Amino acid sequence: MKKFILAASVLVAVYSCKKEEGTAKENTTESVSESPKSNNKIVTLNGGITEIVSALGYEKEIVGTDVTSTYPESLKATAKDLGHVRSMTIEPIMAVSPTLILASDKDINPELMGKIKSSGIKTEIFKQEFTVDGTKKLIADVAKALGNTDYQKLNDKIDADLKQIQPISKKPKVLFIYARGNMLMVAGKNTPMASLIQLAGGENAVNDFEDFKPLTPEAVVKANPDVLFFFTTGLQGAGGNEGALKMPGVAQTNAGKNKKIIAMDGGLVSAFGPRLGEAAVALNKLLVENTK
Amino acid sequence: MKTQNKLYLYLILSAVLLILIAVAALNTGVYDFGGNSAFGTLWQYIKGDPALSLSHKYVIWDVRAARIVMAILIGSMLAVSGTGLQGMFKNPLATGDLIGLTSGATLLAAIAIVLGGYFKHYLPETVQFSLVGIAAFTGAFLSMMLVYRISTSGGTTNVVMMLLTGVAITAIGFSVTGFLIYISKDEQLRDLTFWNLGSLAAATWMKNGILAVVLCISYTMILPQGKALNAMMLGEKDAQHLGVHVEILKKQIIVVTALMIGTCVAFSGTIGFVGLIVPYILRLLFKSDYVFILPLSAVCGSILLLTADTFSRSIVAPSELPIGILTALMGGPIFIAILVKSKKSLS
Amino acid sequence: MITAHQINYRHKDFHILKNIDISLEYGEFLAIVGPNGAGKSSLLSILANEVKSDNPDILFKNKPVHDWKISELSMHKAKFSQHNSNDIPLEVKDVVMMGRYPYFDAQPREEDYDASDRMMQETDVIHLKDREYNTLSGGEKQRVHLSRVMAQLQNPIAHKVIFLDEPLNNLDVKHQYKALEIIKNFTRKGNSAVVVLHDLNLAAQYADKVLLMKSGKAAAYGKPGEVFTAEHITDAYNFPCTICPHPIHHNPMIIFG
Repeated sequence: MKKFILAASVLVAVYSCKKEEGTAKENTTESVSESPKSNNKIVTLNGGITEIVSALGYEKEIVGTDVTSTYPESLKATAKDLGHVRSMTIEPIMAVSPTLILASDKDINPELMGKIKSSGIKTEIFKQEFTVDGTKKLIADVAKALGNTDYQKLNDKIDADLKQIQPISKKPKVLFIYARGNMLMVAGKNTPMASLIQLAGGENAVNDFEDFKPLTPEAVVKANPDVLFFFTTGLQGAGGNEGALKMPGVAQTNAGKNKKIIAMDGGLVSAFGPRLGEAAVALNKLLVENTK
Repeated sequence: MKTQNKLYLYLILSAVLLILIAVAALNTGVYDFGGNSAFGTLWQYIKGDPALSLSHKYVIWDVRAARIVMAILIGSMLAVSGTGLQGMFKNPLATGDLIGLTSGATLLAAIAIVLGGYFKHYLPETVQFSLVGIAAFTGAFLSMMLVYRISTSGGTTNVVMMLLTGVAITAIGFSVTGFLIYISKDEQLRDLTFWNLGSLAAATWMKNGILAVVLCISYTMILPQGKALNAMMLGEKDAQHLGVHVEILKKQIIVVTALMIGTCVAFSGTIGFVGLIVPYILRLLFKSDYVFILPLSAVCGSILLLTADTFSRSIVAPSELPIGILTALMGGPIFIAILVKSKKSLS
Repeated sequence: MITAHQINYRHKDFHILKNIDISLEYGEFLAIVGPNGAGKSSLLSILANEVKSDNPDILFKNKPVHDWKISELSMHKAKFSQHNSNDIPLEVKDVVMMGRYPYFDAQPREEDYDASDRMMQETDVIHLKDREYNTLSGGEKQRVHLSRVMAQLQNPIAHKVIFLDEPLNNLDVKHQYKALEIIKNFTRKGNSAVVVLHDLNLAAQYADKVLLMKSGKAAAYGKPGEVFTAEHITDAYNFPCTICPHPIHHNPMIIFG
């Protein structure tokens, strides 16, 4: 039970997933300013936000990111990895002397949030919705926080990419499995994976619950997915396709019988930033291939 | 050398050690004060130097200093509560975490947070805080009553029952708390790691204020009871013959330790083993003379926790090792040492 | 000194003590004897105010026991209990010093050190004072507690009382007599002692009054000569015995068999 909870928190931290609470909130919150508007040193605590900031041309100004911000890769050289937002503390953030902190409202430790707010550094917190419109709004909001109005091209790119999605005649049921060590979790409703699957023309195999829950063989068999979806690293760690087929309940499903297993880069899948279109197209391609 | 003077000498020596460690802790951390030393920055803050940048001020005062003070307060209270419990149960294994008090506190605190989540918008933050604190205190208190009822009769404690009750309470607390965290999406509930391994990262001066008040109240009641706890070792009846108000003493210890443990758990999660390690080491020097080990544990508890916290911040910088891991690392071997030593009397 | 009437003590439905009357004078050495289960320890506990009996207050120096403050009482009376294997991780001198707790707040004074040293001398444990209590033998521990209890009553107050529950257990002959001498000396100074004893002959030798108990009742009460008759004893102990005068000090000598 212990390990599962820990893994769940790590997972949820890494892939920023949160159930909506029903009420639409204002997008941006605090602005306690003590520095000039020219944002020289930015800390971005979310993969998607990092990508947006980089895509808008401010990559060189990012001095610190969270561990999920894996794209663009050139950031490894210029920005410090500050860890998981769930367990991060304030001092490492302050040590890079940021003038602006950008974060998503998901999973950030409320104590950390309190410390960030009382630090006096300009902070913007964005609500993240895992939809196309939500992403576009996020792009607009981040751009606004940076004092930039030239973000339309990012949204256009997403639309252009999305147009490349091919319809699939028979909508496949896709089950996303998060595999880390011995921990196996599946994605329910209101997860980035569910949204992405839908965008790419598929259907999320599990709709009984929200968020991530541990994998049970019964649930897997009941869901009877046509395709199994993993992160590249997760699939590798689980022993590749063979390992996946051995997972409990899988052998009884269409996906297991037909050996339809796909994988994509984790950062690409969960960022829901400017590469959203790319991600959807890539997933769509994989689904088309695997439902022939 | 007279007893009292000996005690004062040791207290002063320990206090000096504590101050040295506090200075070292102040200097530890990834933040760079722009060429100035941490101490210099603190001095600037105290003088009210306007040239001090807001960020420097924030880190030195609200982050580092607050955390150091919290480590001192919580470490002290955890150690004293352990020593007091051991005096009452007449056994060196009686500590808040081993007999289930911290689990009970955690459980009720978690319930308070979940319930409080429904009323969150109607209540100011201070009230929310106090609700959690009061719930934690109640949890510790109820667990204490349960353990006492089950394990103690006629003034003698059945140690095995005491520990087993602790195991049972811990199991229940863990499962219910885990369940609450599992079904609740409330971020306030944070995650199990916080409750199980503790963290001092969320130190604020307001919390320190509350802790200080609890500490003062508790210490005025319990620290002078060294003689009385010694007398308790003779058995409750004999202690009564020596003029100790046994029933009042027991009630005091129950309430005071529940109060201290509850408050510490509410603010820092479960930090285990402090109440085991500190009295054990002190007993090696002073035998079980509570006149010495009770006040000394107040200072040595701070030393222990502050040292552990400073390590937790620096070993895997910029990340942090949960402090419960460090205290468990030290406490585990000591637990075994106690068991080996008392192998005869426990069987 | 102490008067108690009609003491009744029940545990659940079982009558441990029934209708016992006791009156203890200044300077009196009262021995309580009887077979196992007769209720001797319970009676002692009640007299020493350890447990509450079901009936009106015991009078201690003409004041109901409950009207006394226990801090004061501790200077007037002390009790030696049978010690189960209590682990006391302290040195012997610290254990004895506990007897002086009613007298000092934080720090023992000159007179406290004197009193405890003196008593340790008398019970012959002074050479053990720096040893750890837990390393002593049963008899040695017994003597340590005896000196603690005696040290507790070393003060100028007149007419104190000491309660002792089987203080001679585990002691060898020499120390048994020594202990009884200490208690007798105590009573010669105007203080009283109530002692539960197993050895009838020692009781006969040292006690001023004897209470012979059987099944929770007082079977006989009075001077040793009056109480120690063949009838009384055979009846109480359910075992034949003969009495003859002691060749040296003329107290009754009880021989079983």
